[in-house]
Amino acid sequence: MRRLRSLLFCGLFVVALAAMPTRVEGAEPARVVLQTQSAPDGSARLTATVVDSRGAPVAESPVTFKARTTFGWLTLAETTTGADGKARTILAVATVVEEIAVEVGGEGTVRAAILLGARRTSAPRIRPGWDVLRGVSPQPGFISPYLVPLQVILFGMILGGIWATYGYVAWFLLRIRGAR
Amino acid sequence: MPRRPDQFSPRERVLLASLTEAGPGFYALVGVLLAVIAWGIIAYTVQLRYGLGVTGLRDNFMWGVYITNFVFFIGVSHVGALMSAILRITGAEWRRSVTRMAEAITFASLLMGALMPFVDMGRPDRILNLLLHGRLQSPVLWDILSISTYLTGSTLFLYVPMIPDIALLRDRFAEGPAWRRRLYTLLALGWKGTEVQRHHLERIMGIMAIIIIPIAISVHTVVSWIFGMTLRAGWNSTVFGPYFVSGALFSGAAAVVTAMAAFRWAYHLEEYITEAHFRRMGYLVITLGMIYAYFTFAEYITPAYKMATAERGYLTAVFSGQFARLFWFTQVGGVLLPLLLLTVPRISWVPRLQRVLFLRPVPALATIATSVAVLLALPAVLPRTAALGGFDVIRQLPVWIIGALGGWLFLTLLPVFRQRPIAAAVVASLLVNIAAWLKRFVIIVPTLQFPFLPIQRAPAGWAIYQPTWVELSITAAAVAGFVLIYLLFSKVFPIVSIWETREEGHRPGAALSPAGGHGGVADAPAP
Repeated sequence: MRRLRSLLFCGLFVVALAAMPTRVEGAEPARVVLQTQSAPDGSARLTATVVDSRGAPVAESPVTFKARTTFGWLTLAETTTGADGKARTILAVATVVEEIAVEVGGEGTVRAAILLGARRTSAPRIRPGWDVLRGVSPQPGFISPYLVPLQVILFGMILGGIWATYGYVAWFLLRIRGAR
Repeated sequence: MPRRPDQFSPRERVLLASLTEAGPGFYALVGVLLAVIAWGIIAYTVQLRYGLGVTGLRDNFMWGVYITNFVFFIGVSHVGALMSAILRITGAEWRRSVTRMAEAITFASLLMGALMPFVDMGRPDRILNLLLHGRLQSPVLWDILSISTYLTGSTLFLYVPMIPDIALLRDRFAEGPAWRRRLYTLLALGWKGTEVQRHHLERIMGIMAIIIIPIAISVHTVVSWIFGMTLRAGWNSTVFGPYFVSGALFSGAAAVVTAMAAFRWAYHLEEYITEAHFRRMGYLVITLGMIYAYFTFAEYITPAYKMATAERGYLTAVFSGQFARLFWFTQVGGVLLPLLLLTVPRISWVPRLQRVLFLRPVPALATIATSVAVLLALPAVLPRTAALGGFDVIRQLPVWIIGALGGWLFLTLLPVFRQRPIAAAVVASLLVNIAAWLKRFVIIVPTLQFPFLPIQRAPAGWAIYQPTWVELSITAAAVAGFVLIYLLFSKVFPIVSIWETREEGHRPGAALSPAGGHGGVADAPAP
């Protein structure tokens, strides 16, 4: 009976050992591949795949996603890879980010970066049509993203009139200089 | 043929002497001004190096002392062009001695005022972006355009009537320092006083006198629109344009009175600037002050009557809260007292005040001095507020006592001011200008403290605005810069127009020339 119990215990121990997630010996991150997938709403899904020197996925490896901003690198997310060696995050507003990088491991020795392309600013939803030319702004009043023709004409007349008068005065000053 | 020095009248020789003679007082003043400016430059270097974090400006307080200075200087600049132009057009003879002082104030204060928005920018290197990407729909861009237009116009307006005087100086300093000779020769435009030249000059002066009036008015109106075009409590007002213009004229006219007194005293210009000039300027200040008071009343009574939710916090802070002392000082000390001081010479019952024992200077001043000493010791003597069961009046007591003592002092000094109308005018004008600066502060800062969305998740110190030493140093430097420019101007050009006052002085009672309505040049010097 005791022997049977010892055998059963050993069997369970072996099964438990086998079931425990273990890192493959020598499975150190050697390379990371960063992929982006843009969504219509302007967001982007970032996927980093971490593999070892043999090309096998590395699980539980710490991964840091970063974005380049005017003020330097901004950390977007800190996560770990899954069993498939992949780590994912979502960049909510991808249109204003120019470059994304991913760093693997605490030291950040393994790194990859990807350019999202030139910054894209979304086009205004309301575009001026012919009505603008008739002096009607797409938005009411002067609080408009576009130049209001009436306003431009007014400015041109006032400022142009004043500066033309200055020019006239300057011309008379020159005539004073030339007068005998 | 150059005019010989003996062809100048004695009073003109006094005026010309002010160009070349400088005593130790002048150099001491210039030294102090330069030192203040140097300190201001150091402060600005600190700001450039460490950013706007060294100032009291924070997320909610994007404007503070710098924009206060900006509005103040632009306001003071108004009076020169506007007053001079209106008086020229209306043919007011007495203006001949003071118009150039006023026009030079415009020039100096505009230079300082236009500088302030650059100082207010954390990244002044980005100023070009305002021109490259500025939106014509924005009042900020309107402001830049109108100020640059006004600066050009007021410089022309200052320069054109100076041409005959510059020609006089060119001949007077024909054997003087080389820099003066070159400068006057360049700026005199070959003026010989010929009929054609006089005709041209008259025409230019007429044009400039007319065009500068709407430009000057529009500039401060546009400055007010920077605030008025927003929806914020305290700024969302339809009368901000005329309110700002009236305030600008009031403070500018007071600045001219101060300048008149300073130059009269320093350059011995008693013959040019008489008591009558102060009296007339006093009338002008009184008129402008009453218009300004009316606009102030109209500006505050409308929202205060309704007390809309968005305005409530702001108005309470201004009338009875954190900014109440500043606000009421600007109203009492900056409007009421100056108007009283300027009308004192015309009030018949003022001498009778001296009959009252406690209003005689010696006993009154002694009592007031004793009261001030007691007041200083009061905090140590009075029990703590908590011990009085939170009786708040005790906390306010010193303020009320100071107010009462100030009123008493004022009544005591009234007979003295009546005997010295120039001193009264100077004190009044200084009060107006100090209060004008503070009023701009009260217009700008309280509104920022009460945004529609309450300030939250900000460090405690960020919810109030307190200017730092950097801002105060730069402000002091701006004031010093204004005084220095004005002072140096008076050393290069006569601060009183020679040819215009010659016309007035040498032909007493003479009818104005056909062009006299705007400062005729019929008597402008010919070689």
